[in-house]
Amino acid sequence: MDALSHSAQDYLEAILVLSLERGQARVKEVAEFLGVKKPSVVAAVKGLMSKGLVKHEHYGYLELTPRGLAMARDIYHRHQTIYRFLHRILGVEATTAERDACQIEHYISSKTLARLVKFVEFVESFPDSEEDPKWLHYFKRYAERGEPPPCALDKCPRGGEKVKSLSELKVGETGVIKRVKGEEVLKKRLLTMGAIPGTQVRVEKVAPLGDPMEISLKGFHLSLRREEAQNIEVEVE
Amino acid sequence: MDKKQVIALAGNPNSGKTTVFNALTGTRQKVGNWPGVTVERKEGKVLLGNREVTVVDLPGIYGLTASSIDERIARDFLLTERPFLVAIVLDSSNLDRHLYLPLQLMELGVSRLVLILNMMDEARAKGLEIDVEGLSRTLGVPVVTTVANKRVGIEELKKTLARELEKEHQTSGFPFSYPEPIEKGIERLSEILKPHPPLSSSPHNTRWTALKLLEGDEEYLARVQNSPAKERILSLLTMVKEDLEAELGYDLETALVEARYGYIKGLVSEFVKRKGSLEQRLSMSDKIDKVVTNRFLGLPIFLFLMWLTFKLTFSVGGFFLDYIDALFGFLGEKAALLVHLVHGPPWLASLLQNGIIGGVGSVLVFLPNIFFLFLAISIMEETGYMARGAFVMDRLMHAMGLHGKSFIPMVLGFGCNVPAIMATRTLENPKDRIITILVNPLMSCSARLPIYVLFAGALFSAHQGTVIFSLYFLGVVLAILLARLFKTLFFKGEPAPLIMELPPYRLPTWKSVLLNTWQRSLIFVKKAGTIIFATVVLIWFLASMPLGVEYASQQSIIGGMGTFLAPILKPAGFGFWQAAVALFFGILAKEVVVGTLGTLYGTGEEKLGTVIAHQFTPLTAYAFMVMSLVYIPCIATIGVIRRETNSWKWTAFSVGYSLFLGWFLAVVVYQVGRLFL
Repeated sequence: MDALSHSAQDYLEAILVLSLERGQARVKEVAEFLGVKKPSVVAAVKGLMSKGLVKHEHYGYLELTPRGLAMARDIYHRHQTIYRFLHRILGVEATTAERDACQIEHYISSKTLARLVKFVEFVESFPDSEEDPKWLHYFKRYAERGEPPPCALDKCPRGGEKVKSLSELKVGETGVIKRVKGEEVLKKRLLTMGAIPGTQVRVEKVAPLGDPMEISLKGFHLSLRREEAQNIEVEVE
Repeated sequence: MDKKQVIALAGNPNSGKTTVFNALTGTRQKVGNWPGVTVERKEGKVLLGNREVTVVDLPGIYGLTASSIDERIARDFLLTERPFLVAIVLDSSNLDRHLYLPLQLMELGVSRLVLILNMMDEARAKGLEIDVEGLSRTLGVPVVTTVANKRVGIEELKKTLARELEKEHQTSGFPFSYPEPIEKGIERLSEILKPHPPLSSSPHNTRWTALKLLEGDEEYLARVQNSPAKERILSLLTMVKEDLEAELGYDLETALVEARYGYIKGLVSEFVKRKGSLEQRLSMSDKIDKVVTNRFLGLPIFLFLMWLTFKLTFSVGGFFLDYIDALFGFLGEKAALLVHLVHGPPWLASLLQNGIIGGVGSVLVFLPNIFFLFLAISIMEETGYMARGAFVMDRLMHAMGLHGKSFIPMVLGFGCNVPAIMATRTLENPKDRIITILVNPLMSCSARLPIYVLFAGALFSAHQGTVIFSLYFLGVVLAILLARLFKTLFFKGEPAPLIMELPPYRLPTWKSVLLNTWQRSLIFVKKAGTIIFATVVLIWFLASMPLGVEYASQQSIIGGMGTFLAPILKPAGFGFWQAAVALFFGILAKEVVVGTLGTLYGTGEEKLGTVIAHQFTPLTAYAFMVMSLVYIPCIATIGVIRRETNSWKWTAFSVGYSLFLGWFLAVVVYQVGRLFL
């Protein structure tokens, strides 16, 4: 498939769509469908025939070989997924989504596409698939009217129930580390000292001037500045 | 050379590594620096069986990433010097974390290891029972238990080390492996690294390099940049990483560390049994901390301790200082008299008195200060208070662009910049350290006070106090501004996190405190002393040559230099040669400015005020005081700056910027002042 040019892929796809929609595909129809001249279609079809993907019957009827059919389905599937992502999930209007999908499908890597497929499946797998899931509903309202989601973004529950940054914990509170992010140097140091996901931390104290804070984990005490503690996500118990 | 001569000692900070080191080597130690950096390097000798062995004390580290300078030093030492044996000191009461380092060393390919489970008494007090045999068997390395501060187990440790040195082959049965997908990733990467010797000198080394690349280690990534196979390696690395992260669901770096800690957790749950009273020691330490870092008491306690340190350094130290000063004054006079009696030339008498004996004296007068300062600092470090002090002060110092621990050197600077700069040894981060050193001379030391007293007394009799205070204040403001400036100029964007362990409070051992104090005092005498002594002799030479001139007169070389340079001082309002010469002598020690002016005006110090009142106006006097505050640190300070930064470049910069800034500010004071007065 990699050997096929972008336009060859488009022809293959057009033949598939036409034969699905109208039961047949002729050179003239393909030309109309793609908005090109008939001689171009003839030339392209010759190329596809030489690769054994299309059979040319009389009266200008075009038919896909089994191999051509499989390949066209694959291309079509890609196209459809991208289209559904743009139109259904992001809410891009149909014609634009269609046009962009035609462009994107040629350039997207198979890895990203695989993820995208999973994502679309995931969104569409919500029980009541007629209606958008809550978060998507909020997203569309945000995209169209600039309306912020009901809870401010950084206070939105992420992942588990009560994930906060360590700097938000009060003295005496404990939490379990979910993630350590931020500057390489900082992250490396914290991880090496044992601040890994799953570790219990407790805020012991805050310095008299309000910063830094003292925390304890794995049986020892550590001081770190608030700005540094922001890089540790914890789940409050 | 016999390879079996070097043992490296590794361990986390606060594992009691230094205590073990002291117990092994006693006073047979050498303190220096690691090449090119300001990190202290210690080595000592120990007799094992009938073999004399060098023990190198590595910096206290938690792991072997390249994210801290200490860890990089340790890593480089282990990889390039290849010590025959590495002994790791662990805090037995916290093996959960302390076993991480041995695991890292095994991964690095250190095959001859000895684990030292130190602080066994604390582990026992916590109700921990450790299966030493089992641990040793599983890890495949000898394990020794000690209570180093009571010398328990040290003989056994020596025996074990001696035995290990005799062993020829050590099969390193490394027991640990990563989860399946990660191992596959390491393998894939190793395949491509193998044909490139600089990246993989041995199968073990290949694995280590692959691991470090997956961890995103900057140093190893840089090495790949120099490899001909750069493109292939990097693209494979990205691929392996992406695949793994997709499979694991989060970042690889975390996953690797997590896997190691997971293994350690298994070890601990198998070989450490908890029973009885938990965390006794911790609660005792917590109780102390409730008071010491308390919201309301934390700051006053810290300030009180600072005051006590200051007192000890300058009052108690000063008591001895006066005697030393008097002693050298006496020796100088006697030496001159002796030369006179044997009809030696007068220049020889002067050389002995002002040059050599004066030079030795000006090194040794600082010794009591330094000794008492380090006594106080060593006690604070050993007890664990130092980290609390930094904890309490960090907010304020961080706003200045410095580190919590910078506070102590800054305060000490008011007494004398020499011990103050030596006190920056407690700062681990080289950037914090260099900035603190560079701005420290702006803290107006006590030697500058006589200058202020003379000038303010002569020309500002009504507002003497306010004027002197304004100079101290100016120094602090300049220090804050320059600290911020230097940080953005030289260390922009380099983070200096305050991730600092607050170790449990412990009683210090006197041996360790005194040894530490003694070594640091010796460093001052040896290293800084050389520069101080040389300069004193040089200045003597300039003031006495050509032969026969009166000491420091206009006809001497230094007088000539003063006359030559006076025009440069003219825009600052004090463009006469006496002022220039006095400032030259101020390089010896700032208070010498006063004495020199006395000599030059031929009045002695008593009536000097009257002469000054004639020569200077209030405005030029203030400009002169500002110049005295800022320009060139005195020679003793320059000596320690060189010693502590380990760099002539920073030393020259310190001298250069302060000279220019002092002159510039004096000119600004004079020129702006003239517009209004």
